[in-house]
Amino acid sequence: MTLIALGFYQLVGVFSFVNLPKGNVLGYASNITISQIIEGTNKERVSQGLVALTYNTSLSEAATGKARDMFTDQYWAHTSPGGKEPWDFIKSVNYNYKVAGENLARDFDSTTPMITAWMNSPTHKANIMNPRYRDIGLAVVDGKLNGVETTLVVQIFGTLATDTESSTTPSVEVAGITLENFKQQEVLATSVVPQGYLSQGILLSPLHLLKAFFLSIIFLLIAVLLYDGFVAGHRKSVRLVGKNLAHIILFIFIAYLVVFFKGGVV
Amino acid sequence: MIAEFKSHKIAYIVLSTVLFICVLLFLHFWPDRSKQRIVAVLMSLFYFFWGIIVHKNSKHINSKVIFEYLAVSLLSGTILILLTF
Repeated sequence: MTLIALGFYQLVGVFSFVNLPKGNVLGYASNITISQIIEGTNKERVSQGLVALTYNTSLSEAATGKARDMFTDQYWAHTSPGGKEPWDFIKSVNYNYKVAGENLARDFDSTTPMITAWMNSPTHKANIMNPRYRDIGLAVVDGKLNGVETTLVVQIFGTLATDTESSTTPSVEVAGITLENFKQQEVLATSVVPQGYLSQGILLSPLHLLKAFFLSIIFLLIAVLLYDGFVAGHRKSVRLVGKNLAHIILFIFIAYLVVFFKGGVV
Repeated sequence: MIAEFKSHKIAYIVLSTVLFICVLLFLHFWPDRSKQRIVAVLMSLFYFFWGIIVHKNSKHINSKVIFEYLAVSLLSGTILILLTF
């Protein structure tokens, strides 16, 4: 019953025009960790003969800044409503890149499906498999985005500008985003450990609550339809309404989708 | 219900097959939420028209039947679409 009530609360939260009471009622935290993301990303790269990326604290600081900025300004995009781009965060930590890229993800509760989702998206995959990257920075931050508890993951790639090159040709992709800057710059590295390194387990994610709520409704309806079919069959009454069997088949398929629906947005 | 299945065997086979394909497509399109929503809408529309056509063929069509299939289609479509937000 509590699950149904919480699910209903979460369902109301889906509609952004409804203001939910303030406060963290769900206590949600994913179990995504930075080490798992690095491991997963490098596994994909190495499998294609690419060099493994090195964890870079400056890029992680930039990633943390980006994640916090999204929570502060309540947006989900590569460019903020105020026009701040990923490169601004990278430059702010004095990481002088010749090529850089950014991948985003949210609403995932574990690392493996998130990496799979990135690899299923051509633009995100292009970032992960880009042979020009050498460094990786990550941030995994919990917070509330548009009234819903979630975990934002920011993955920033880069290569320091150590060679003298003359041309400057930015190239931008839509989902996974890449920028090239061939101006040689000095390398300044700081050592800031990203925030949001999560060690908590999952309590109840918003998606789990929604699933519980929907499944409760579906199973209740199936039970009612079965009972109705049984009673009608027993009394041999003439029925002028729809077919219970068809409704039950449909609801079983819907229940299957609800159970196996994978969350997460990239 | 077994008698009902036997009397409309082809209709139920068509229904199950199309719903099965919709389920596969819905899962296949992950994590593209837009395509998943399109599949959810198509699935609901298919169910609604399937119900109408089957009842029309058996000459048991009336406003209550139409409303019932409309409600069930809307409910199932709404569940899937809300899930993708």
